[in-house]
Amino acid sequence: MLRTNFPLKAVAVALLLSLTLPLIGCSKEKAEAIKTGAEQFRVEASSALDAIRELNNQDALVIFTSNDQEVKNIANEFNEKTDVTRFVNDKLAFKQRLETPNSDLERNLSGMQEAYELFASMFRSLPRGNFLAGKDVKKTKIFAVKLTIQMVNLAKMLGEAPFRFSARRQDLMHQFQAANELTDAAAKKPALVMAAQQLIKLRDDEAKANTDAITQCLKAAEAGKLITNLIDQYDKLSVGDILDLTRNSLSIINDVTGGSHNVQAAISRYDAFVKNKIDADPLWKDVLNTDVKSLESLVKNSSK
Amino acid sequence: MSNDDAAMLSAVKDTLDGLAFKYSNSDFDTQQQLGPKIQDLNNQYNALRTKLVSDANVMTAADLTQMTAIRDAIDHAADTQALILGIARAAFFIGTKL
Repeated sequence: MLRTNFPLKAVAVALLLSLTLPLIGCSKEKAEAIKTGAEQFRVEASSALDAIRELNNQDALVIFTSNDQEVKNIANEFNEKTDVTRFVNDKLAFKQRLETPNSDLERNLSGMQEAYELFASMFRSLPRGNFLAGKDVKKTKIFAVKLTIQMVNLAKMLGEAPFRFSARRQDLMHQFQAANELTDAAAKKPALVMAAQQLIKLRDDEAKANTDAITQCLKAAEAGKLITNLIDQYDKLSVGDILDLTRNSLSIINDVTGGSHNVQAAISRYDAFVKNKIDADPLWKDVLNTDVKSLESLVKNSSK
Repeated sequence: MSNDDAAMLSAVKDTLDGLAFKYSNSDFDTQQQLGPKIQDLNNQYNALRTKLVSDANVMTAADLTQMTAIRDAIDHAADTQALILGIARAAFFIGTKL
């Protein structure tokens, strides 16, 4: 009896599993789309944070921009009245004492980068667990929202408080000073013109570097919007809808990248998007309007 | 971020740039006087710049813990799914052979 029923039961169980699993989860294609979207978000955000890191390096205080300049300065400073011990110790400790890098900011940027990596890693097994992980995917929406807002915040910060190229500014000041000290009028004029050209170039280069970083933050924010949408609607969307969403998002990313550096307009557009979301989606509103303590409870609530 | 923060940051940087330039043109005694001022101002500037970046950060330690837990849960779901599908395939195979 057992022997005759077993094949039927086994086939029935196998059929039942293959019929019910797709109903409780998302398709493999959707799972792949979410995984790819999260990875894209990580890549764009990481590039944005790298751009800010590079700006911070350029912004760091530099007094002597070359060894030659420092050597000349040290040689000029020393005279018969100088306290030799104090002088040597001071010069040896110069960089540690005055030109200290901003390690707290670096720690902040690294922490942010780790958060984007962790976010993408949440979906690394999703295509293999697409039938059973649906409930867990829903819990990730709040983090997609928060990480998207973070990129918009960074773009706004860069717009309001741009970084500078400190070493080049010092060089430029010395260039103007040297030109101004020339006594020969025929040589002075071209030297000043050259310094003025360098000034314009530095102004453009600083503006471009800050604009590029803002643009990259907004590209990352767009990738964040896409993954938030995919997570939010993944059980409702068809594969065609996902393709449409992805295509639209890619086109916006290209607009941001290939635009005419009208960054303020792009920031305003994203600001408007966030404000609109705050009106339409309570989760976005809660992320922006609550303090850290209540955010923690929000995370717990969103996991239920 | 408030406009005050941005204005303060810019003002501190202007002063810092000026002091750095003056330092590089000074004799040793003047440098000894300028050094602590530059150091103090540079620390203030770094702290303010860090504040602006950390103000943009909306993630908390609890978020990271929660994300790690979700990642582990999805990994676990993938393993469970592989096991279930493996059992189903084995059952189907055995069922069709008997």
